[in-house]
Amino acid sequence: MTPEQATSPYPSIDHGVASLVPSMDETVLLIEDDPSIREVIQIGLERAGFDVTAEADGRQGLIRFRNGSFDTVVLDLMLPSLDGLEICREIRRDSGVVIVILTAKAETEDIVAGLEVGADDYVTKPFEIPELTARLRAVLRRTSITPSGGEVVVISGLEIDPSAYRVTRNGDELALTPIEFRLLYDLVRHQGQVLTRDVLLDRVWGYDHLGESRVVDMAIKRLRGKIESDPAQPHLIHTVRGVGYRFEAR
Amino acid sequence: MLVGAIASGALAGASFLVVRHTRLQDSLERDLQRSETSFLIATLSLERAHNRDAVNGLLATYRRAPGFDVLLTFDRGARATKRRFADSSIIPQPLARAVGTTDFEYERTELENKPYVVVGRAVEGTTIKVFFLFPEGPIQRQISQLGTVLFTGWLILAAASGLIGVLLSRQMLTPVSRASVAARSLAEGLLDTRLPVETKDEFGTLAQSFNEMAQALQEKIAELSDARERERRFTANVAHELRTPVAALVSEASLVRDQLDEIPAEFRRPVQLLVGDVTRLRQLLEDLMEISLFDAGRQTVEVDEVDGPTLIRSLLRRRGWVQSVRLDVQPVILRTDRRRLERVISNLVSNAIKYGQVDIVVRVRKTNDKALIEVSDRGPGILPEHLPNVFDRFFKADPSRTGSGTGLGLSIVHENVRVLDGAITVQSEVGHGSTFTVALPLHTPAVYLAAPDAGQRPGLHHRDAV
Repeated sequence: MTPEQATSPYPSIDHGVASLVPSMDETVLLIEDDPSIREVIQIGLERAGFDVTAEADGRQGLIRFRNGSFDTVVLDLMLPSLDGLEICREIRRDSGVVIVILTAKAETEDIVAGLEVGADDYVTKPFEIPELTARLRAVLRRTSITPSGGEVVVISGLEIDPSAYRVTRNGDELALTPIEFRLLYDLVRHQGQVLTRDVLLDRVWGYDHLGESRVVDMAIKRLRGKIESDPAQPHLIHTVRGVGYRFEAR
Repeated sequence: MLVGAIASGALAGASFLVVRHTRLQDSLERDLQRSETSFLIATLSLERAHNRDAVNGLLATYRRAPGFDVLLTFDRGARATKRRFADSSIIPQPLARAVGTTDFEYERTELENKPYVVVGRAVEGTTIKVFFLFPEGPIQRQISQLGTVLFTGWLILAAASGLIGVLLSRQMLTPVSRASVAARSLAEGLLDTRLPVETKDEFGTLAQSFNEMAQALQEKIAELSDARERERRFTANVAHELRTPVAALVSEASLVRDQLDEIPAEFRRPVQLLVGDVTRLRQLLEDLMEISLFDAGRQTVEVDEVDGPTLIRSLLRRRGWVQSVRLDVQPVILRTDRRRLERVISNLVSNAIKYGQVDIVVRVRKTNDKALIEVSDRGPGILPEHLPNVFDRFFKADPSRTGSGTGLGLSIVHENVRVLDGAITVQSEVGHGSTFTVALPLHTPAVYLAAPDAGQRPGLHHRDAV
């Protein structure tokens, strides 16, 4: 076992419980209005082994999501009838499903806005299909495995139960997405230590984003909004300027 | 006018100081004289007997003398003409120590927050010290009144002379100074500045021609900026419209590229070319998009602490350039926009690799307030007549080289350096190579712009977590 695996509470795909989970196609809901892009993504993801449901219209896409069961939503932000951000927000009302947004590279405000309303990751257009599948695989690998063996951690009114992906604060359950949960659990397990954005990207998102630290920053922001009593003045997750983040109950 | 104000001010100030000094000196001498006579009484009455009765008698005598109080200190305790002064600790320590039998000692001090002169001397043959307390309040008050009067007088004088000066000069300078103010505001970009034409003399003619010039300038600039604005909007629109089909092409090409083996041999090469051209098209579009963002003035500068050498090393590693580039870097930490700095260096190095090919060196130096980043090659160099144009859009020194460049790389470098508050220069010698030098401030201020269409997007103002 590598040191990384030794410290991880989650069994990796090659070891432990994960191999007992029956292998089946992961389901993707794709909402994209441009027909060429929609079709090529569908072909690409299906070739890569995903079970893809494609939808061109935002409102229809949301209805599909509510009537189906999906592991991932791949969402274009610029959509007719219902804005991608709005869909994202609607989905997040009651679901922690992995959401990856598609945006144009220039629209940095859109990226930030999308991550803010709960998207887990983003891919900028234009992109190559293998890039998208690699991202989806990495995020799914880290979040879809039923974790086991991790011990319940109680700290500062928070009770973190890795085997159930559950966090409660003073008895109330907090709605954390799997990504947010992993992020919190990783920080708590290394409390007192500074974890750099690169390390967090690697451990939580599962691939090398190279300079895309925004994903981490926005996930931290969402997490603070859920676990901190005053997210503007965090008492649990501290920013270490120019380095990364540190969990410390003060 | 200013000279007058300063001179009269200095005169008033100096006379005030002289008067103050003499008045205080006079009052002190008077106090010392009175102390001398009064002390004589003390020595006379205490020489005979220094018991309680003698002391009481002495204090009774002093109480009849107007204008000052007396404090007697003994080994233990103190008596005074007024009960509230009967405390040896009210005497400043240095004075209490200095007092002897041979001469008077004095000190200015505050008793009960009022200014006093305290004069003291010890009575020979006893342990009794006599302190005379002369209030100095009235004299200080007089002095400060004098100061107020002098200062007020000076203010009135200065204001009056200033007013007269301004009125005089305005009457003489009006037309000339108006023209100069107008010219300055024109130069600052207020293009609708005009002068009133009031008279028929040479000033009137001046105003007339000034207005004609301003009018012509305004029209020309409006024309130019209209054309620029049209061009800018066209570029932005083209780039925007190309975005979706190019995104589709890139995704499609990536799928085909991975399945080249399955394509019949005779089509393999055309497909390869197709995939390569899609990559070029993508690069061109990304460059166009970036340029049109600069044109629209929509650049944010996200400032972060950046370790120069580390950034360069990681960039070279990622782009696979480690073998082709030599590094000569000094440590430097900048507060700047990481992404833009990467863009600058990566474009310069890629340019050097494309055109210079050999002996590419990236140098980093640090001065007091700047970081200097130099990218040099020993390639064919740039002709002197081309040097002024190297940062122009779509400029290619050798038009026959339609190679892989988009012609926008160096203009993007130029724009990025500009928004980082830096400067870029190029030196080149034909046959010996070129050197691009970027000077960046160690601290670039951050620039955040609100999204121009923020109002229409429901999500952009939503700042709560889900």
